[in-house]
Amino acid sequence: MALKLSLNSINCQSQKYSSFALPQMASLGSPKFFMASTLRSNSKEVETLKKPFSPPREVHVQVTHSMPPQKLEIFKSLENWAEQDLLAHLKPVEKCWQPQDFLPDPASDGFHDQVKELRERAKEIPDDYFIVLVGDMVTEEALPTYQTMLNTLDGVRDETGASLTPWAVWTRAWTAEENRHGDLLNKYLYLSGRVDMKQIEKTIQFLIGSGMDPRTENNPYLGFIYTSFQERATFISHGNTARLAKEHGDVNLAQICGTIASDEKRHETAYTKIVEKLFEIDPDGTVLAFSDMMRKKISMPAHLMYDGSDDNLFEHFSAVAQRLGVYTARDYADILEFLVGRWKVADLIGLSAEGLKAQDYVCGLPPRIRRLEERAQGRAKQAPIIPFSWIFDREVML
Amino acid sequence: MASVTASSVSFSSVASSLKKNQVSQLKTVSVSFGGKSFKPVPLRFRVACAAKPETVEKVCEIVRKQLALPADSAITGESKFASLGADSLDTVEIVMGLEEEFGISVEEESAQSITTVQEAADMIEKLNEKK
Repeated sequence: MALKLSLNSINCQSQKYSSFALPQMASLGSPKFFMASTLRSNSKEVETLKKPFSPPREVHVQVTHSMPPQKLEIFKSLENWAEQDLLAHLKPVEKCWQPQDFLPDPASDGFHDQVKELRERAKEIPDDYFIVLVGDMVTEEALPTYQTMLNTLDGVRDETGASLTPWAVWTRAWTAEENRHGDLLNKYLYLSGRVDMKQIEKTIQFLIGSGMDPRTENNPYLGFIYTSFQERATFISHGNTARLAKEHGDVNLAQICGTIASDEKRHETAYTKIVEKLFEIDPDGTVLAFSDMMRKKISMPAHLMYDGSDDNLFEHFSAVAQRLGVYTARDYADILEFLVGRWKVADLIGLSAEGLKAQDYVCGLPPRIRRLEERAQGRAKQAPIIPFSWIFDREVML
Repeated sequence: MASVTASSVSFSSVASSLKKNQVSQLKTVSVSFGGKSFKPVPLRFRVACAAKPETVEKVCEIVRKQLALPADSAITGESKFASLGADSLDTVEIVMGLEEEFGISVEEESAQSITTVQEAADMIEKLNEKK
């Protein structure tokens, strides 16, 4: 049985049987299952409004403000801790790398030669790698959506755009650090000559227009669990593109991806620390939140990706990412297992009946996902070869 | 000519006779074959060839186990997985359990259409017939 697992929140294939996961899985072989919660779930799912040639728009019935108001004070009470501990994970701007550090220097006489060398290295890198790199870049470039998402969270949002609460300071500074990722990848891809920039730019415009639906319900418990998962996922993903770039002989590109990965690791540390605090203060509420997010499945930020022609663009991109080992269903299970360990979920005590169920669910989930993935791999059919507009409709195997 | 057994009526033959008679709403149907006429029987439109009761029972068992339901919990052919508390992952694992139990291989497209115990049992029978 080929399972469609979509990691990323379901793309328009929302009614597909067991599609969930960050990237979408066309067959059990891809991490779709875990990428997008495209699964037919018990929750009320609005039918995907799929007009031909329209961007995939899959929207669950939107639940809002699911955190009870009395919990707001938890985040108020954490402000001192956030000021001392959380903000310490930010890097002062003066110490930060900038995209220019990794790109040909336009102010130098050697600029044209540097560009030439970059393009020569890029020629040695296969199309399927570029598909994954472009998908990652498009995801990074949809940053406005993520800053927005953080500002939907009750108790921690930036009320004015210049709020001085440590939460708001964190969010703006985090956004500023992330902003360099998209800029750097964009400039690299532009100079490489290997990809169709206009199609990519179109994809970005569509994606920012579509937003994303991580189902965090304005609830910072759900929100920070989501971001913890995501940062680790991007750390793994960029780490793998770095490794592959090196294998293809492009040390500069490897440095680019590796540097971005190290940012993500630092962000992962920060977000997991927040959730660790929540587990200390409110273990029952936090384990319930963890279980809730995992049941809904962690959807990929770019699950609504569209380029004007491929209605299953995210699914296709994810399949390639899975095949290249950049981000897989195994990674999804590994991240989950890591977080369960990191937050010592198995050791929680004093849980309610519901909390105990949630604890069991979350602790028992990684092996179930792995088993699914193994069966999928065992059944994997010959993958199709399809064109991608990002590379001028050249074809790549899924 | 349809053959009518004591326990079931072949739907397709009834359907064609229905069309001829242009009956739209039908609770019972009188079927006549070879001069014999049968008493009107309630027609269950869904059942073309019902899965064996043993198959349905095995499916119920697998579902019960997957969802950790008590042995006496009410599960019938009509039971929807979702109503029994199955999420998408459970449903996938149920189908996997059925594959193992019955030695069949379920295509994703077929798997997607299974929402009840009866549908699972019917699909199993169909796949077994093909073997």
